[in-house]
Amino acid sequence: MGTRILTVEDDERIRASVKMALEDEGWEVAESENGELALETFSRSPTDIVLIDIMLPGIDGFEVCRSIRKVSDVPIIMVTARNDTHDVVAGLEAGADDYLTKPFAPKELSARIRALLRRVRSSDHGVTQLRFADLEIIPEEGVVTVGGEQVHLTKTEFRLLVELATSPGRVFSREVLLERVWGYGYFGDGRLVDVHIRRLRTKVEADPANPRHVVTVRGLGYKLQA
Amino acid sequence: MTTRAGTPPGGETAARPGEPAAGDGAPRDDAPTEGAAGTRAGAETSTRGRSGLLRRRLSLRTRLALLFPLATLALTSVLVFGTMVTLRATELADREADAKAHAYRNAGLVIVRVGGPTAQAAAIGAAADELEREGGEEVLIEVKGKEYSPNPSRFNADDVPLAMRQSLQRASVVPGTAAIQRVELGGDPFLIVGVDLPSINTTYFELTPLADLQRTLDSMALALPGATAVITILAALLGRWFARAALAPLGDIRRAAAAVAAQRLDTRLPATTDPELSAIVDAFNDMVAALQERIARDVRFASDVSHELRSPLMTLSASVDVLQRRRDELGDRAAAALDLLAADVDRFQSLVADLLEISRFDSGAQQLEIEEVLAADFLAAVARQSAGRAVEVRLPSGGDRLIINVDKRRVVQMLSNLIENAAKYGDGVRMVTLDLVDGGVEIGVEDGGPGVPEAERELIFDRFARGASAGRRGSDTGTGLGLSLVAEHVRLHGGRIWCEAATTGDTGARFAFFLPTVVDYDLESNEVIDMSAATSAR
Repeated sequence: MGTRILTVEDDERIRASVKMALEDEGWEVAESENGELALETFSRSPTDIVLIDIMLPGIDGFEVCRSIRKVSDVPIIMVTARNDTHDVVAGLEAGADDYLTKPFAPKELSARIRALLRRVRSSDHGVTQLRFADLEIIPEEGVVTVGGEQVHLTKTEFRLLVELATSPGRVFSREVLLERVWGYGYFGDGRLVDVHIRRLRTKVEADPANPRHVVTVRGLGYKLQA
Repeated sequence: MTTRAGTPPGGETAARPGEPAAGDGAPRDDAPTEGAAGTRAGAETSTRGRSGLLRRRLSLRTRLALLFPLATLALTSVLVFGTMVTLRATELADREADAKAHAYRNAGLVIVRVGGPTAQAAAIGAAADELEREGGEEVLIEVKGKEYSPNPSRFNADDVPLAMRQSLQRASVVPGTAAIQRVELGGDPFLIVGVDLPSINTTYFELTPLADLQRTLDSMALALPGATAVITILAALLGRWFARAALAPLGDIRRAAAAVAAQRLDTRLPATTDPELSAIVDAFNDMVAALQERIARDVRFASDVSHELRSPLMTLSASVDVLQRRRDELGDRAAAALDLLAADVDRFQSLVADLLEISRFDSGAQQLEIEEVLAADFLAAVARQSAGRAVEVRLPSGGDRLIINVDKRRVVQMLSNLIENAAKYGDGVRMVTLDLVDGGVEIGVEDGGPGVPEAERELIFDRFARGASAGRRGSDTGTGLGLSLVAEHVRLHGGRIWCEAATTGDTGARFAFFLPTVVDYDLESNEVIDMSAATSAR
C-alpha cells in the first residue's frame, strides 16, 4: 500500500486541485472539508501524513491538530494564512511538524511531504544505543527512556534528539538542525527548531525550565550533554 | 525769542488783542511740537508701507517679540516728550510769574525810593544797589533815559532787547504794565522783566537767571530717554518671553505634524483647557485620526484583497502543476499557452506574497526577531541558494567568525531579493560583501550588468518602480515590489539602503544596506557544527 495523505481544507477547488497534484506524485489522497470529518476519517483509516488548513469552519486547524496528536505521532503539516509568529508558533505548539504559508507551490508541498516521509523511515545512523545519564536512546527501535521509563516522542522530536545525540557535546546551529531534520537549510524557519526543542524538553527533561540534557548555547544553537 | 505781555498784580488785562508779543509767542511755541508730530506721522505711514515686507522677512515670533518693545518705545516716547514740553512750559510760566511778582514788588520800592521826577542820581543808584542786594537779581533802573546799574558788566541797558522796549512803550498807555522776555546773555538763559513807571518817568528792569531751570530740564532730557531705554529693554525681554510663551503651542503642533509625517499616526496633541487652542488641538487630532483611519482602511483593503487572492491562486497553482505533468499530451499551441500560464501564475504568486508582506509593513504589525547569526557562513549559504551557484563573499579580516544580530528571516529575504534582482537586471551577482562600519555592518550585492543610472538610484526602491530600462524588458518577471520590500526590511532594522556603481569592474550596480547591529566574534567555533560540516557529513 502506498503513502496515504489526508488533506483538511474547506475550499472545494483547492481541495480538488491539490488532490490531483498530490496524486500525480503517486500518493493516495483522502480529503475532508472540515475538522469533524477529518478526525472521523483519520480514526477510520491509516494515514501517513496530515495536511491541515488552520482556517476551518467549525473546529479550527489547531484543534484538529491537537486531537490527532493525542492519539498519533503522524507527521502533520499546517497550512497558515500568514507566517506571523502567532499562527506559526501556535500551529507548532499544537503539535504540527512543519508549516506552509498560502499560497504555496505544489512542488513545495511535495518536497515537505517527502522530507517528512524520508526522515521517518530512515534510521541509518549507525548508532545502536546512546546513554546520557538517565536518558537512553535506542535509534534502531525508536525508543527513548528517561530513568528507565519509556517516553513517547513524535517522529520529528525523536529525529531531532537522535541528530543531537550523534555528536554529543557539540553545538548544532539551528540551520544544521533545519537541514538535517527538515531538509531546509538557511531558508528554513528557526522557530521550527525552537518549538520542537521546547516540546522535546517537556518530555525528556526532569525540569524543562532548567534543561540538563538538551542545552541552549546562546546565539549558536543547541547541544546534547549527559 | 519770545516776548509776552504780562498781567500786573492788580488783575488788569495786559495781553490785549492784536498785541504782537502775545500773538507771535504761542504759535512759535507750538510749532516744534507740530513739526515733530508731523515727522512721526510720516514715519508711521512709511512703516505701514513696509509692513508687508517686514511680515515676509521676519518670523511671526520675531514680530511678536518686537511688538512689545516697539509699542512701549512709542508710548513712552510720547509720554516723555509730552512731559518735557509740559514741564518746560509750566516751569517757565511759574518763573515768569514769580519774576513778574518780584519785579512789581521792587518797582513799588523804586517808586518809594526814587520818589518824584526830581530824584537824585545817588538816591537812584543806592536804591538799585539795595534792590540788587536784597533780591539777588541784577537790576537796572532807567530814569529819563539815564541808566543806573549796580553791576553794568552783567546787566546794562544794551542788554534790553529792542522789541521789549517797543512793547513797553505801547504798554505805557496803561501805567504799571510789565513786559517779560527770555534772553540769552553770555551763553546763559535769563528772564528780563521790565516795568514801566510813567509816574516817575522811570523804567525798572530785573534780570532773573534761568540757568538752574535749564540744567534741570537738561538733566531731565537725559534722564527720561534713559528711563525710556531701560523700559524698552525690559519690554523687549518681556516681549521675547511673551512671544515664546504664545508660540509654544505652535511648536507642539509642528512636532506632532512632523511625527505624523514620519508615519507615527498615533500621534495626538494633548488636550488643553484654553478655548482657542483647544479648537486647533481638536481639529488637528480629528485630522490625524481621519488620516489614520483612511490609511488603516487602505491597508486593510490591500491586505484583504491579497488574502482573497490566495485561494484562487492556490487552485491555479495546483492545477497548472497537474497540467504541466501532462505537457507532452498537449498539442504545441496548448503547451505554449500552458507555459505562458505557468510563468504568470508563478509571477502572480510572488506578487501576492510580496503584497502581503508589504501590507504587513503598512499595518505596522511587523516586529523584528533578532537572532545571532554567523555572518560568513550565512552570507555564503544564502548567496549560494539564491544564485543557484557558489558566490564570492568578501569579508573583512577576521570576518569568518563574525556574529551579527539581525532578523535572519528578513535578511535572507533581503539578500535573495537583491541577488534575484542582480540575476534579472544585472547579469547575475558577482560578489557579496560584508564590511564592518561604525555601529553595524554594511552588506553589499554587486553585479556586472549595465548598472543603474544615477537618476534612478533613489526611485528604484519605490513600489512598482523597475527603472526605465527594466520596464521595457519583455521577459521581465519581477513583481516590482522586491526592492521596496528590501527597503522596508532595512528600515525595520533601523538601517539604510542605497544603490551605487559597483566597486569593481567597468560597469555594474552595487546595492548595499547598512544594518545597525552589535557585532561579536564567535570563540567557540570549533565546537559548532556548521553548514559546511553538515554538507560534508552527507
